[in-house]
Amino acid sequence: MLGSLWLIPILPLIGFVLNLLLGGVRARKSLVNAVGVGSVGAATAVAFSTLWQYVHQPTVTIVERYFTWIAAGSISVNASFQLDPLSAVMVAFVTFVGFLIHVYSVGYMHGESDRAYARYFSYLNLFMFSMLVLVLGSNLPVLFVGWEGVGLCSYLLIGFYFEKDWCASAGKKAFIVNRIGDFGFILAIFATFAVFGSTEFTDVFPMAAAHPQQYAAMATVIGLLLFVGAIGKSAQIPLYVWLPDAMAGPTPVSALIHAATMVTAGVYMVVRCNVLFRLSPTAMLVVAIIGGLTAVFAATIGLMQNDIKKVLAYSTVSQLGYMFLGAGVGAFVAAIFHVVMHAFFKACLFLGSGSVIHACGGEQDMRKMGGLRKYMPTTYWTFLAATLAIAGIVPFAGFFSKDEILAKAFEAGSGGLNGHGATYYVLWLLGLAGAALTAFYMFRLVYMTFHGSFRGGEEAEHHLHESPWTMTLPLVVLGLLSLVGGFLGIPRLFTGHEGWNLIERFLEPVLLPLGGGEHAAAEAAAQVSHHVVGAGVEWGLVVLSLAVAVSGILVARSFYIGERAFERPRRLADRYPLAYKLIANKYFVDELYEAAVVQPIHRLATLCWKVVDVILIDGVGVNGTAFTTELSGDLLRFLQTGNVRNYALSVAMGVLLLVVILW
Amino acid sequence: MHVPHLLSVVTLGPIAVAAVLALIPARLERLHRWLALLASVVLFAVSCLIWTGFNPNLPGFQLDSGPIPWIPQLGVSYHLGVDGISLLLVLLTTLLVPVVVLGSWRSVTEHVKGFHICLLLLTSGMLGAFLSLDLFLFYVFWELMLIPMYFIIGVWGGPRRIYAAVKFFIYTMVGSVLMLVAILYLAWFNHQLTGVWSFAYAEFLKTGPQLAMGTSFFSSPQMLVFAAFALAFAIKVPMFPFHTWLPDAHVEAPTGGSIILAGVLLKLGTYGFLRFNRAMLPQAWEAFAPMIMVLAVIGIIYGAWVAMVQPDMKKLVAYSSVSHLGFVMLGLAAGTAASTQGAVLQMVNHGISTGALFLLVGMIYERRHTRMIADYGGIAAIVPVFTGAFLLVTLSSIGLPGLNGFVGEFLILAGAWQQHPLAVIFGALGIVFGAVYMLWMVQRVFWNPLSNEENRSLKDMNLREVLAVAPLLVFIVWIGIHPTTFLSPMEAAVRLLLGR
Amino acid sequence: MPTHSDLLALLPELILTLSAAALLLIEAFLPAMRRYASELSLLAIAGAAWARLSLPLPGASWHGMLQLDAVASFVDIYILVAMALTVWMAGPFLRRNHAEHGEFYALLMLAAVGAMIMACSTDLLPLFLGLELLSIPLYVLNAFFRRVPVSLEAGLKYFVVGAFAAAFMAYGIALLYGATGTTDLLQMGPVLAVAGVTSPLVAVGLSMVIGSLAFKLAIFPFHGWAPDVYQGGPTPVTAFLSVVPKGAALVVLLRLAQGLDLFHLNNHWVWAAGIMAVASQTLGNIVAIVQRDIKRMLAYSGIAHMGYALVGVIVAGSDGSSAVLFYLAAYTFMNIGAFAVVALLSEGESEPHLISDLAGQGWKRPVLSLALTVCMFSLAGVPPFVGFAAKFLVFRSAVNQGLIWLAVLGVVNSLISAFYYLRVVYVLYMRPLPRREPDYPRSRTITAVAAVAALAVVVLGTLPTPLLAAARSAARMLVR
Repeated sequence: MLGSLWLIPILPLIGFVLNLLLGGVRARKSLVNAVGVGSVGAATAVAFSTLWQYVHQPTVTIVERYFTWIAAGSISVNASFQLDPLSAVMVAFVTFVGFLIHVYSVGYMHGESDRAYARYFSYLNLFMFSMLVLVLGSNLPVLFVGWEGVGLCSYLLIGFYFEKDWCASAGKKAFIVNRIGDFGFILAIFATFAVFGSTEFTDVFPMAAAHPQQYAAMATVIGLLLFVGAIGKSAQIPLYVWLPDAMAGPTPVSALIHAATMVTAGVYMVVRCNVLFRLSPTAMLVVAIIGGLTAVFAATIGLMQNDIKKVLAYSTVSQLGYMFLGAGVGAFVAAIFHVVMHAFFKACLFLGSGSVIHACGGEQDMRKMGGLRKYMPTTYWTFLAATLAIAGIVPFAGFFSKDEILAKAFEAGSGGLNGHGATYYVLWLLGLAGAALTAFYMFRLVYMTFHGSFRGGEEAEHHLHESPWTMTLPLVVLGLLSLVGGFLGIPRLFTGHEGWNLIERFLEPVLLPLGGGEHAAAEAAAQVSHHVVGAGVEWGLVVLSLAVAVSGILVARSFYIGERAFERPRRLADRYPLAYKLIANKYFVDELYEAAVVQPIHRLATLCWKVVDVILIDGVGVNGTAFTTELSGDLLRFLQTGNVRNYALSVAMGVLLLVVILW
Repeated sequence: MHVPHLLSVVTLGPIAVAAVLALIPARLERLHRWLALLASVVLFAVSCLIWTGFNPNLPGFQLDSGPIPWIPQLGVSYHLGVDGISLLLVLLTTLLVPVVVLGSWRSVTEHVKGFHICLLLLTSGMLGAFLSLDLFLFYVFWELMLIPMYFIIGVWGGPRRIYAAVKFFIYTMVGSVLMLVAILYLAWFNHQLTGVWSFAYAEFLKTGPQLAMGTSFFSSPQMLVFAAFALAFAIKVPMFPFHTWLPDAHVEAPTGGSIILAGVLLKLGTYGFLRFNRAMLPQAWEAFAPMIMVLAVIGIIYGAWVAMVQPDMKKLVAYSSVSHLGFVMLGLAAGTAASTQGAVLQMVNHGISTGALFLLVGMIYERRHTRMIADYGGIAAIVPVFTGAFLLVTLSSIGLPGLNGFVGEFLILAGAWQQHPLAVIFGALGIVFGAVYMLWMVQRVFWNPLSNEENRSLKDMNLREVLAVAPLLVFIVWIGIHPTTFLSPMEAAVRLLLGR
Repeated sequence: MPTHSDLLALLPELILTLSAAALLLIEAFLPAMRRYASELSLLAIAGAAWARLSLPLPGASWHGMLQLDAVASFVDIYILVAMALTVWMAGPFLRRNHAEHGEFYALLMLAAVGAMIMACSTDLLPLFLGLELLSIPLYVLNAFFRRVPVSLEAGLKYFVVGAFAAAFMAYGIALLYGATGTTDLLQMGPVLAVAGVTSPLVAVGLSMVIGSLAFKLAIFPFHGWAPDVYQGGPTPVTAFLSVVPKGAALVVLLRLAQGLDLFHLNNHWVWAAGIMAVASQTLGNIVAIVQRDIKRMLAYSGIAHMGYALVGVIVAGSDGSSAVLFYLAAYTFMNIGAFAVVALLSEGESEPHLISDLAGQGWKRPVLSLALTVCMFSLAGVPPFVGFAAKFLVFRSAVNQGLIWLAVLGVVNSLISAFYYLRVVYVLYMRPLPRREPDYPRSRTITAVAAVAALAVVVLGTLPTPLLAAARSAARMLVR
């Protein structure tokens, strides 16, 4: 299938169009399934067959040019796709997870009307198309097409229940906040054009890598602008606010778009442009700091959420923070590794929560759940596996990926990466703290939901049931992957030689070596060196992070299990009311933005309209002139007395005037 | 294929048809509608013929009617010609006219005959202005547009239509009268240099740049002439702060009037800037470009902000035009090949997208007789097809990649970035605000709970309405995915024009 | 002793004079023929026109007092056309007002003869003769409706102020004669060219002559009479009054400006005339905005238009002169067209002709309204109507002469004028019919006049070449 990459995204696109039409004629759900799930299934099949051929030649980069998209003057953009190890990995897990979630949706959405059902699947297919364009695009503008496309789908799917105003608002909020990020992204594209005269990855990155110091300055600008885009798409501080609200969408959507794939696009983009970032210590540092802060910040909010999906949302924000922390310390491979692992276990968690919500009849408040373990075992066990994975318990997937990132952060600290050693140490500590928090709030979730006794009342208890196979099958698959997925990247530490770190070996080519060598520090970060810290220290780190995770779990257990459940947290809340209020209200960030940004602009806009336009320009300027003219007309009219004597007089005066002037 | 005087057919044809309609008794309303529709469709076909006959590799004017002496004593001649730039605008115009006829099928119920006669005369005016190669002829067509538009707004418009119509007429005339003096001055200057009386564009292209620049504004003929032209066009565009006629005109005008107004008339301003100010008075352009750019950027942000707080859909779209046209002016002011081509393409894009928006707003107005956003909400479930169309147009107008709006804005900003990063940064902010006001409107009109029971009985689009909007949607997607079709014909022309 | 050729040269004037006499006789002895008066006068006019066009132009005749050149013939034809249109619409109009008297036409013709004499005289004496011959019948015609007070008042006012102005003319002629020893412009020119406007005699004399011509043109500040007279007089008379005397006076001014070469003779002239021109434009337009009566409004618009035309006179030369001549023709059609419509869209002579009374007529009387609309846009100077071409020529001549300020102020003024011309249009089409529908008379003839005038406005506007050619060849005679 090599040589026809376009086939992969085009299939879902066809699905999108067909489903739109089917929705128009209110077709039966089975037909919609065939189209919606079928198209993505086909795409997945094509993708994997393509990749199967590709893994035999993973070092080459295949670029397919289809046609010239935009060409004018110095600007020229091709519509073209590119297959290299990075996009290969992305395509693989996007299609795979995407397919699973399509299957899951069949079960989850069956309650919708035929028309809404078709609409749902057409949007979902459009999303698959956009996401694949995003990861396959061979230049920034094409990537941007996918980038905005997924944003659109996110907007449409968050607002899927558009008749609920909070859903509609959440969708709008998501789109607009992303637009703020895109503002940076598009400027970065312009800058790239200006600096490199092209935005083709295969032109830009080699050029930059070859002459590091020549491009270092611009790399900082472009890198930071790109990162602004990433902050928006991947919900980092300060633009993370849209993601929690995005949970208003159907749960499979939250799983696919707002956990597994779209939100990681920012990470993908940063890794894709790793050359530029490696040229700029500043950009790297900023990425790391934002990532580290977000990881902890979001985790703290996650501690006190009672809406099951909100907890997962904040944990997603936090995990994305880890990925950027990884990228920021030069562990680009680890970042992507965590992206994939996160896709597995977070998708599993969301689908699990979906299954729970499904069982509880739409209830999302964990305080009204509990003891579901015995009603829905499959969901429980898969959910547990995913939770252990995110908590970073060996040998689950999360352990390998997250630990890799923390280790690299530590190395960056001890190695004094770009001379910011201290900062990176702090970031590592933050990461560690975040790990503890993660373990705590995730197990809090598990305990509140599945353990103890049901708190939802008699009537609801009758309806509790395990979900249909279309929903549990994806859960099982993803659960297994959260268990074994980590083995894709077993560090040298465990096995003694590089050979077992498959993902790192596969992705090596993506990190172009920087020429010149004067960027030794960046080099060090890039070719992730294992000789900064000794093996002993590394083992120490592993043990430490495990300990941290376990302690988090134990605390959660002591808080939410047993007859004295919920007592301690309540007491804590009473003792520190201020901190409790602050965190429970998500640090009032939304309120802050409303007061500091939204309202002022709105007031200013009203001012422009009512004062500048209506009063100044129109009132004084335009109508004022007209009025003055008419008024002077009224005044001059009084010269017209209708009295003959005056006319004669004026004639005489006129002649006199002429005499005076002519003489 | 080459048909002699194809351009004259396009330009004067509508007048002939109008004359025919004038002879048909007014009570045969359906006949008038159908004849007008037929004529406009044929007109579009003919302009497609022009397109096929057009050679994109030649930079100069093609299908040249040759100067036909009109008032030989003054050196005034009837002279039409098309280049890559005007070609696109002619296509846009002829595309929109049938849309207007269809869009007015139900909304125009009184004086049907008069409406279509006005529309056809207006069409001739617009096409003539785009195609004339003689400045006297250009001025005649330019003013010729005023009268029918005045009637369209004033007769078939809303409650404050007379105020709006007069405001439109006077406002436009304010600019054009001084342009007339400037044209006269150019002719005189041309005579001084060449000893020939002429109003030919080609002549002025040679002699215009030789106008003295002088030291100060008032001692500089070229600057003064530039200012006279610029005022006329800035009002038409409209650039901040000359824009206040636009909201009134749009809100009061009938649907068809708004479509033509936003779709084509505004483009005459930007077209004039490019064709006359930029090409004929290059040094003065250099001097004025920064000011134009600043005003353009102000327009982008200001228009977006004011649009954001409008309670009336039509007014919102009107102000969004101020913002969008700001992008076009920014592209022209930046003056690189990319930004200029982007600007020209953006003229077409705005014509299509905003035309479609007005058409759709008009459709819903016909049903509920209100344009207040607050009167709607949650109607997506009731009129899904309409919602889909509106959503697509909205996305195109907020510049979603893959649709037409993005290509234009992208080229404009990317082309301008190198010399004027600051302007681009502010311009790009406009894209953010664009999303804000459009999506906010969409939410309040289509999403949210169905607040107003009267909307429950809304009918979805019928076949006629679908046919009216479909061509626009096609172009929205076409230009978005394969803009090269439209960029390549103008490339040579733009290069030549900027080369001066 | 006039020669045979001298008489032949004035054949058109003679034809008109004789038919005027004939009409008076008919009025006295064959009252039955009365109803054919207008047809007969049309016949006479046709004859006069034929004579003017077919006979060769002798140039200087009557001892060089009259200059029967291309200019004269251009103006004569223009006067005859104007009169034809007036007479044509007068028939039904008089019938309606039960004032069907032959004198009307007779007086009209005598006035026309006076105008034609003025137009061709290069000597101040026949000029004065013509002026009086033009004025006196008009005084009478203005008061033609003896029972309508406003008509009487108008006639009286016009007569008093007119006589006053005529006195200025006579006195001015005397002074000029005293200073230069001649009343012949062609001889006066060289004399003044040597002497210059140093002596008070010349300055005062010249001012008086120009002043009284400006009075006929209703140029500021000599305009006072116009609104009252326009409003009061019978509409056809107003139509005639608003074009014919102005044409004659303008041509005389042109001859004066050319003969004495005022442009170079006195460098204050441009300022003096320029100020008068701009002032007339501004005052006329601004005051017209607030008029409610359409005839009054047209009076002020006329004041403004003569201001534009005066710009051409200032520029003079072949450019300026041809522009002025073209302007005359253009103005005639627009104005007579407008007045023809006004004559129909009013319930009676004693009633005021309020603009607001036109409400909704646009869809009720399409032809009339369209004609009025065309004339209004043309008066506003909007292409493709002849009014635009005329203004274009005038301003062009100014720009080419370096008088850009006159052009700029002129266009700004025509912008202001758009205000009130547009009002007429929107009242016609955009205001609903009043609940109590006014019953306006219907008349094929007058509608035809309006239609013809409007048609001329459009045709001459889109194809001005022939008219312009005629004007230029005439102007060439002046410049020579």
